[in-house]
This record gives sequence, C-alpha cells and structure tokens, in this order.
Amino acid sequence: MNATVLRCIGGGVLALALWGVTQIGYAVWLCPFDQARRNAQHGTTTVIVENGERVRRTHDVLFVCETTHYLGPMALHYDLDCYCAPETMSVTDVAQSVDGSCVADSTGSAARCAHGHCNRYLP
Amino acid sequence: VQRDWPNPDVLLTERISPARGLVSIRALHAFQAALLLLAACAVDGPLRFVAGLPLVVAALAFAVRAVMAPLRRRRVPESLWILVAATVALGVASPDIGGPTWFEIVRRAWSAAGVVLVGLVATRDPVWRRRALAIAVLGSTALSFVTPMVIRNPNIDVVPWTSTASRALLHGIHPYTVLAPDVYDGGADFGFSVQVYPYMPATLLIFAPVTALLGDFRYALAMCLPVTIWLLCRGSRRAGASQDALDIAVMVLALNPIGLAVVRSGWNEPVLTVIAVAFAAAALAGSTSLATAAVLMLPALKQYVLAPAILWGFARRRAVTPFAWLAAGGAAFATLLPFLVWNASSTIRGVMFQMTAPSHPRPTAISIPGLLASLSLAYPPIWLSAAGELIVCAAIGLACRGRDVATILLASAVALLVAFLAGWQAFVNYYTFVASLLVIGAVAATARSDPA
Repeated sequence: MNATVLRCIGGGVLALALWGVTQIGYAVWLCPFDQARRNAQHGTTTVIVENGERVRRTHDVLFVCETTHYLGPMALHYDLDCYCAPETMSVTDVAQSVDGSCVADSTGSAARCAHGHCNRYLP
Repeated sequence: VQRDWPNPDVLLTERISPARGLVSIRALHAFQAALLLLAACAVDGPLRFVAGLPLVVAALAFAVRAVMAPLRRRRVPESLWILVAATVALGVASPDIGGPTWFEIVRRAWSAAGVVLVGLVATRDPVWRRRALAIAVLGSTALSFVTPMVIRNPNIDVVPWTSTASRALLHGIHPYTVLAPDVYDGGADFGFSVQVYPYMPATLLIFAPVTALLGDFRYALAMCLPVTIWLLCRGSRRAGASQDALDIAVMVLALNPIGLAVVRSGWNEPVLTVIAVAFAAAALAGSTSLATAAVLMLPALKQYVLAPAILWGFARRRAVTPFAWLAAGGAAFATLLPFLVWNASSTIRGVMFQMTAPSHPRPTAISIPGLLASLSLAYPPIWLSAAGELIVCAAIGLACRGRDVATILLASAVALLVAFLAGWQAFVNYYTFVASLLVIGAVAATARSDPA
C-alpha cells in the first residue's frame, strides 16, 4: 500500500489513541462521580449533582447509587451518582439495574440530587 | 488606496497554480482551524471542557492566523492530509447518535473507511483520487439519507418542534402558535422551556414542502451535502481554485465526523452551508447581486449568522447597486413578512426566543459561559455573545481587511467563533457550520478570480 495511505491510517490510529488516553485520564483523575463519593466520605458536601440539563421526568423518582467504575475488566474506583427512574421501580429494581447499591434520595434541603437533577435515566 | 489590501496583480501572481498544487498559507491555516473545530465536535460529551473547549480556542487562533496570513503560496504538506485523516477517524469514537446497533457499527466503519479514502486522495494518483472522492461523497450522501429512516424519533426537541411547525404550516395554521410534544417528558432543564418554534420562518419554507413530499424534513438536510459539494466544485472550478484545496474541502465536508449527527438531530446548519457556498460561488464569479441575495439570506435562516452580511456590506458597499441591496434585503424580508402579517406577536416571540428566554448558560455549551455555569460560577451576560460578533465584524470591516471573498468568509468564521465562545448556547452544530465557512473560505483563498 502507498506510503501516503499508510501515514494517513497512522494519523487516524494516533488520533484514536489520543482520544482513548484522554478518556482514560478523565476516568482515572477527573471522574466527577468519584469526586462526589470522596466529597461525601470527607464530609465536604453531600450534594452530588447541583446543575446540568437532566432533571427528573414526570413520574420519576431520584435515587442515589454507588457503583463500581470499570475500565475494561479493571475496577478503577467507586462512583456516586444520581439516577432518575420511574416511580414504579423499587430501590431493589434500580440497584439491580445499575449493578450497585442504591437509596432513594431525600427531599427538600437534604436532597443530594439538588433541584431534581440527575445524570442518568432509567430505563 | 487601502494600504492593508494587497495589489490585485499580486493576487494573480502569488496565488495558486492548480497544476503545481500550491495553495496560499491562509488556506492551510483555514483548513487547520476547520479540522480542529470538527475534532472538538467529535469529542463532545464528558471531554467537552477538557478537550473540546481547548480545541475550539486553538481553532480560533488558527482562524485569526488565516485572516492575517500573507498570500505566499506553498505546496499542500502531507501533514495536512494526515490531520484530515485523524479528524475523520474521530468519527469512529464519536458519541452514540441513538441509531440501531447495526447503523452505529456501519457509521463508525464508514469513518474508518474514510481514513483510507483520505489517504487515497492524498496520493494524488489521478485514478484513485477520483474514485476515492466519488466513493466518499456517494457513501456519505447515502448514509445521510438513511439516517432519518433508521432514527425516526431522536431524543432531541429540535425534531418535534420543526416537524410540528412544518406540519402546522402545511395545514394553514400559524407555525408559531403550535406546541410540539415534549420529547424529554419534563426531564430537561435548559434554563428555559421551549414554548414556541424558536427558529426563523425561512427554515419552514424549506422544510414544509419536504415534509409534505417525504414525511420528514430531515431529508432536506441530507440533500444539503451533495448540493454543497456540487456548488463548491462548480464555483471553485470556474474561479480557478486549487484542485488540492478543493479535494481537501470535499473530503472534510463529506467525511465530517459528526455530519450524520447533524442530520439526525434536525439542525438546520447544512442549509446555511449551502447558502454560504452559493454566496462564495456567486461572489467569485463576480455576480454581486446574487452574492448579496445569498449573504442576506443567511440571517434570515438563522439568527446568529450576521457576520458575513455585515462584512460583505463593509467590503462591497460601493460595488453593489442600491437596487441590488433593496432586492436582496426584500427577498430575505419576504420570508418573514407573511408570518408577521399573519400573527406578528407570535412570530416575534419565536424569532427572539433564543435571545430572550434563557435564564442561564447551558452547562453543555462548548463555551466559556458554559464552562462557568457547569462549575456553578458567575458567568457573563447573554448579550456579550452578539456584542462580540459585532465588535469583531466592525474591527475587521474598519481595518478594510475584508475585501475579498476568502477574507469575508474567514473573518466571519472568526467573528462567529468569538460569539460562540462567549455565548450561553454553543453546540456542535454551530461549530460545524463555522468549520464549513472555514473550508469554503480556504478554497476561495486559492481562487484566481477572487475579485478585490
């Protein structure tokens, strides 16, 4: 194959490798859900999500779940995140769905998913 | 005599020689800026502020260099082709667009194949070059048409709003008085709640007939890719533009890593790109009346695209006859007038919605206010974005740098990038349009007929 074609393929592979390394770096050092868990552990703040564009839908309930963040087969750390799920789902259903441990979020000023915000929807 | 403007004779001698594959340095910088922007779009998601925003800032720097660059020529470096290939490859890793599994695999495989096609064009072997260009355009066009078929209900409000407004118009109902179904089921906090079709009425004049004929307005967006490329090829050949620059432009437009996401989401920027390339082709051909009509149609289609019209006004205020200005302005206004007569308050509410409704920046915007909002920090006011665009236009216009078509397009890209970086809303569709402006500007920068 022509050397120019090979160099272009190399450029493509390099771009994807760079993208992959950035993703891994983000997951390892900048994961906001890992930061939320550490904040909760250290008592810095109990709020997990306070802004963003996702809020609970009509008939949704908020759940706080702790899950394991994997990088391929390797467990990186534990994530703490807010999930919006239909009110028909129980805590057990949600925990099974996310493969972690969950609790229903508190309401009012004690809410950890502030102003009805969540990062993920179930189903 | 304007000191900043090069002698037109220099333009003729210093610009490209198509046979030798030489292009001006400003064209190279413009391509680099466009590719950085598309890379930023491809990594949108969790990496938005870690990688996307810095790439947009880097793209702005290259776009400024493109405007300021000398007209010296040089051969297209192979590194530019490698950068094209790298950007196309990012389509493999671009965010999921909500299609069925087979479609997601096919569109990613197409991006991977695109890398090889870019390499084949870069070899400059006449047979393989032609074949690879044809395959890239036909394949991407086919996938663009398949996208609305397989992703019928994308989870984005643009599609139901445009569809509902188009269907309302077809049924004789004022499109700014209807409500679209909430695709998010209440699960969205954008800092505003969409209560009216928030885009310009000219878009509906394009989308309503397509909806009536094909059932989905997004086929009009799919059609924009081949039309853009056809207009670009036709215009640049007539203007004596560099074949290498045209090849790069075609590959970037066809293999845009988020091109299918734009069609899927119903964003109307592909229509803007068609109008922008029509403007460039008309202006390069010396048809100032047609160019004026096209450039004034841009803000009639999307509120933020003021820069090309302003810069064209600065540059050619004497070359365009008052009648041509009136006719072009009248044509653009004619797309709005019937809706105003029909129901002025609803139409104005819809057209002004994006400027009046938001209460805070979107935390998903690829912009500085977006970053600040996502960190719950103080952010600049909403008007800063429009002010930024106007200030950049005024600065370039007053400096008399924007006389030729290439500079008008590249400077417009700079003004829009400043506006978006300072904006409360700045998403991949906005940046994709700016990338298209840069690509068209790069080709125009190699044209021998670009009149000063």
